[in-house]
Formats: sequence, C-alpha cells, structure tokens
Amino acid sequence: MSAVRTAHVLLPPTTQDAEGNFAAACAEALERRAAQLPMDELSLEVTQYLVGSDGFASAVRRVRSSISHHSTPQRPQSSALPPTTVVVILGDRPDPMWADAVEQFTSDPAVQTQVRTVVIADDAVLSEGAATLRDVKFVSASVRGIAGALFEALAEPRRRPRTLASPRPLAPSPPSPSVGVVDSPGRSLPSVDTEPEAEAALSAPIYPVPSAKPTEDQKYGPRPVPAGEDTPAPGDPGNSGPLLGSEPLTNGWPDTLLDAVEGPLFAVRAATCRGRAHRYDNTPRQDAYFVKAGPGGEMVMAVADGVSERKLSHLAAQIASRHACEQVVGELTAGTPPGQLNWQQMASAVVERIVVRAAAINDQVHDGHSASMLMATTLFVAVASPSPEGIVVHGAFIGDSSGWILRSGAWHPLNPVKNSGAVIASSQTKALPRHALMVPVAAKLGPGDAIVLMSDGVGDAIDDGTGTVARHLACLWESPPGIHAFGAAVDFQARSFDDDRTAVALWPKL
Amino acid sequence: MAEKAKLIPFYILVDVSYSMTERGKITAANNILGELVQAFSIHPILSDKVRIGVIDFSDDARVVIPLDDPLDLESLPTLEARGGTAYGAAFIKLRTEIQRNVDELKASGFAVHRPAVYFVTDGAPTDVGWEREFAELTTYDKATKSGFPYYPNFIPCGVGDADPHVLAQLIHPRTKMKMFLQKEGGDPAKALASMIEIIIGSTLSSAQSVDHTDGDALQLPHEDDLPEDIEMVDGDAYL
Repeated sequence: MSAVRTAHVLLPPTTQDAEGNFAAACAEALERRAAQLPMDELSLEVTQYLVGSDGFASAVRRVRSSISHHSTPQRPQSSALPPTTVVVILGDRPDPMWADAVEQFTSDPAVQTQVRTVVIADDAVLSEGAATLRDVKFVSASVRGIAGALFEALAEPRRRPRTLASPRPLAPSPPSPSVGVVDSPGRSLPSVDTEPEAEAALSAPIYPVPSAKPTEDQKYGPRPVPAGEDTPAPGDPGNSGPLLGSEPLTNGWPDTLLDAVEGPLFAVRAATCRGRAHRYDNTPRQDAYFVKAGPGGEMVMAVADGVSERKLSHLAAQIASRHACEQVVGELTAGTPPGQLNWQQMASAVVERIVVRAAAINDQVHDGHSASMLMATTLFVAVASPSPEGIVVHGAFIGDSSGWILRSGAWHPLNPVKNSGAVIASSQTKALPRHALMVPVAAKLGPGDAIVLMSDGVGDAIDDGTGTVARHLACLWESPPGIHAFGAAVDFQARSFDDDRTAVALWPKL
Repeated sequence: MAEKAKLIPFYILVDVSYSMTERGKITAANNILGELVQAFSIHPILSDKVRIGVIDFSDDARVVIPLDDPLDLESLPTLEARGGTAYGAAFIKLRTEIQRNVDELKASGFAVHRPAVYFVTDGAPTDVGWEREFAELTTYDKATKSGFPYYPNFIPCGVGDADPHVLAQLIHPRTKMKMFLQKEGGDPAKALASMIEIIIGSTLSSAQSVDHTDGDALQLPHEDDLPEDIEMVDGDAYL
C-alpha cells in the first residue's frame, strides 16, 4: 500500500549513539499507539544530522528539498493528518544554528501548506532556542520519552495555532518529554507525554508495520492522545491529597460514569465523578448527566447537580437529567422545532417526577416545596441541532450548573458565571423542585467549537477561563478525547475543589 | 494562575471579662481552640475550605489567633480573664480584622465566602454605644453599595448571665441566623462546652456544603442535633 503521509525525523548524533535503546523505545511507543497511527499509510525517513558548522541547517535543507521534490497534489486522506510531518529531535548539545534553520524552514510557504514541524527537545536547549521558538515548551526527555513523544506527535491530528501556555502539573511528576507543534505563525500547542516507562525491552525493528485491520479510531479518524491521560490533572490537591482510598459505596451508587458517543453529526463525551469530599465521606455522588438523541439528528444533553444540603439530592439529579432529556425528545418527536421548546413545561414535568419520587419516600411530601426538603437539584439542558445556519444550540438552566462554548481555546459562558464580580462569594443556588423558572439560552456553534455543560464542580474552576484547570481543559478538549481521558480531565485536582464533577461535551462534526 | 479556592472565614469572639473566671467558664472556653484543631485534623479535607480566627474581648479586644488554616496553628494561646464586657470594642476589632483578612485573601486569589462569627459571652455589655459599632459591622446596602460589604453572619452564643434580649439584637441577618442560649438552670461551663460542640459542627458542615446550598454557606445545627443544655432561638422571640 502506498504511503500517503511522510514523516522526516531528524536525529541528533547523541540519540543515534544509543540506537539500541532508541529502537526498542520506538517499537514500544509505536505498539502503544497502534490504534492511533495508521502505519500502513506512513512512510518514515530518518536523517542523522551532525552537530557543528552547518550540519543541522544542511540536514533541514535536505528535508526541504526532498519535500519540494516529491511534492504532489494532496491525495485523499483517511485521516486529519497533514501529508508531511517533520520531527526535529534535539540532543543535549544542539547545533548552534538549529533555531534559525527551523524558523527558516517553517516560514517557507511550501512548507507552511504541507508540513507540520514538531520539535522534541531537552530543557537544556530551552534557553538557547527560546528566543526564536518562544512558544515551544521543552522538558527533559529520556530516550524512551523521546520515542513516546515522537509517535505521539505523529499520531496527533493537525491543530490550529494556539497561544495557550502549556498547562503543567504543579504536583511533582516524573520528568516527561514535551512536544511542540510549530504551525505556520510559529505558535505551538504543547502537550505532555505521560506514559509510564515500561521496562519491557523489545527486540522488534525500529519501525515495524502493524497489521492493517482497521480499529475504531481509524474508522472515525485518529483521536489525539491528550496530555494528562494517565496522570492526575494539574493542581494542588490540598488536604485531599493523602486521603484517597475510600470504601466503595454499599448502596451501589457508582462513583464514576463515563460515556462516549460518535454520531453522524456529533461526538459527545460525558463524565460524572464523585468529588473528593463525597469519596472521603463515602456518601453518594449527587451529580448526574443524561444524553439522548432526538428524532432529527439532534443531541439532547442535561447536567444536574443535587444540592448537598439535602440528603436525597442524588435522586433528584438523576430524575431531572433523565426526564429533562426524555421530555425534550418527546417534544421534538411531536414536531416542536428546537427553537420553540417549552422549557417551563419541561421543568413542570421534571418537578412532578421529583415530587412523586419524594412522596414515595415520605408521605408528608405533597408539592415542590415540601419535596425540596428531601431532595433538590440544579439543571442545565441543551439541544444541539443541525440547521441551515449550521449547528444551533437551544437550552435552559436553573441554578449554578453552567454551559460554555469552547472556541479557539477560550471559554465563553452561556449563562452568568457564578460569583463573577461579587464582593463576597456565595454558594446559594436556585434548584428544582422548589424553584422551577428556567432561564433560556441559545448559541450557534462554529467550526471547531464545542459546547460543554458542567456542574459547578467543574464550572467553578473554569470561572473566568484563565486558571490552570480552565486552560488545561481547553487544551485537552480542543477535539474529542478518548472516553477515559475525558473522565480523567474532569477528575482534576485543585485545593478546595472537592465537589462532585460532571461535564458533557459535544463537538459537531462539521 | 490557580483556580479561586473556596474559603469561609470563621471568627470566634470570646468574652474574657472577669465573670468568665466564675464556675470554670474560662477553662471551658480555653478548650475551644484545641477541640477545633482536633476536629479539623480528623476532617483535613474540610480545613482546605476554612480559616479560623479568635478574638477575645473585655474592656478592649485582642486578636488571640489571627485568621489562619486550623491545621497550621502552631501553638494555642490561653485565654485569660481581664476587666469588663465591652461589646463595642469587640465589634470594632472584628470589623478591622474582617476587612483586612478578606481583602488579603481575595488578593491572594481566594473565592471568599461570607465570614461567620460566633459571639460567645456570659454577660450583658458594660459599655455604651455598642449598638452603633454593631451597625457599622453589619449594615450593607446592596443597591447603593454603602456600608460594609463583608458584613458577617453573626451568631450570638450566650451562657450564664448573658441577656437574651441583648443577644437577640446581634443576630445577623435576622431572617437567616439564630442564637444559641444556655437553658435555664444549666451549668455555664458545661453550656460553654456545648457551644464549642455547636461551633465545631457548624464550621464543619458549612465547609462541607460550601459548594451550593439553597440558603447561605453558613450551616447551623438541626434542632434535633442540639446538645441537651442549649436551645436555638429566633431573634423574634426576644424583640
């Protein structure tokens, strides 16, 4: 099968010296990424460059000449990867000219349209190269780390230029290599490879060709392997750090739920997990989500957050998220356009369900007010639907659950940000079934946008979008991550953020 | 930049007038610090969300423990009785402390929730003009933004000869908060120990529910959970 993508790898002599280890590390890294890397479509060309005089620059020139020589009209691709990737690996004693050479290379118009350049480097190089490629992050890399970063880079789809700083774990973590994707304007999106360094020494050839059997990932296009998949997300855990290991619940209420849906129009990821406080106390998670497809390709999503003051709020959250979605799908099926959904009617139906449930537990319950003494919940429900103008979102909320549009790495709130501009913070929230006034929201999703509904366990950390967690999640969710990666991202750690966490994210497939 | 960590500042104001030396009250009051620290060391996750400060007052008011993480307290000072019972001095000192502490915490990037004050006293005020100082501490007009925006939730805790009619005026906001009173005929030192129990329970459950409530972040105990010798009273009963 002919290769549709070419990757040029520029190796420094120091890595070449350790070729045995590097080869084993590459084989190992490649095996781990077999699902993301369609190797039968990839051709790897490795060039060793010499340190000193013009060695590095001339190797870059050779790569450029090879690219322009073989440059052909772009062939149909089964993935979102650019046709050519150039990976520059810098040793601990880089060529003094490397930064100039890379910049010259990346500013070439032909290179800009067809080539993605990835720089993998030791942090020793940072100070020397930072002046030119100031947005590329470097951290120290072992041979195995370099190999992991190399194949992570090759497996990554092309990303839009970004100016976000690299979110870095505050908690001590093992040294990990970093990959910077240098796109046309010299911007980068660094990510951290966090794979454990397995000790297995493999004797496979450096670049084996795995079987061509298509995987789920190949059918839907490759997924990025986001940073932080295997590590605690960033942040100081505070006093919750040493407290892990709570008992599983005896009543069967699960700690965490994860879902991923790949529909024809949308990719959806959803996660809800108990906060550290509820894990510590071994009390139920009071957040819930529900997602249900509509009759016309719509996707209906809801997030509900049980009010912690009320002991049975986990039931209210579950009822609200589920019945809100079912109610909306019912209306859509009956022919109501998404823009004309009656949110008040939906809320009344949800309140009724909650009251019935509460009344079954306590016979004093007869209305929303009395039911709210037992259980109460916030609710954010939204419908994403195709329209002639693109993907439109209609929704409504009550209480402090939030909806956001993630656009070009920035968070745009759909409802007022909790405690924004308040002289003193407040935890007061409106909640069903005592209140039932839904506030409607609407938005349009552009290409590359995502809509994310959250409970305040996540939303409070997004806040004005500038915090470590906000930037970290913006980075990780630029495109749909894997189901576990999404869950791990929601389960970030940050001091005092011990509330339950829920997020439902939807990416249109435009 | 890190996320804005949530925080509730708690202040405990303890009367150290001479009357507190009678019937072992000051000894009981001195247990409050140790017991608080112990409670939070059992629930360290909650201490991430609170700061605790202690002010004592007599003819003057002194900061005994500046607002701090309860698990960071290195030594626990001993309260010693002195002089009369100047409520006004306590309110002035408290307002200054709240203003400074909340400003500092906000500048350090905390999402500071409304401070809570437990006002523990065994007697009627011996000063004049405390009403004005209390108004300075608690008045805030949201519309005009005049007054003290960091006004605290104020919970009077009366033992011994504390006057319920006076304490009822200190409940703030009157629609949400209540006061705790020693029941008739009880032992004031024991009642103080019960007050400590209430304060600890309240700080812990407030920290627990700081994320969202349908009222205020400050949680008062449920009627059924009160110690035997204490009653929880609405201000209206005495006003």
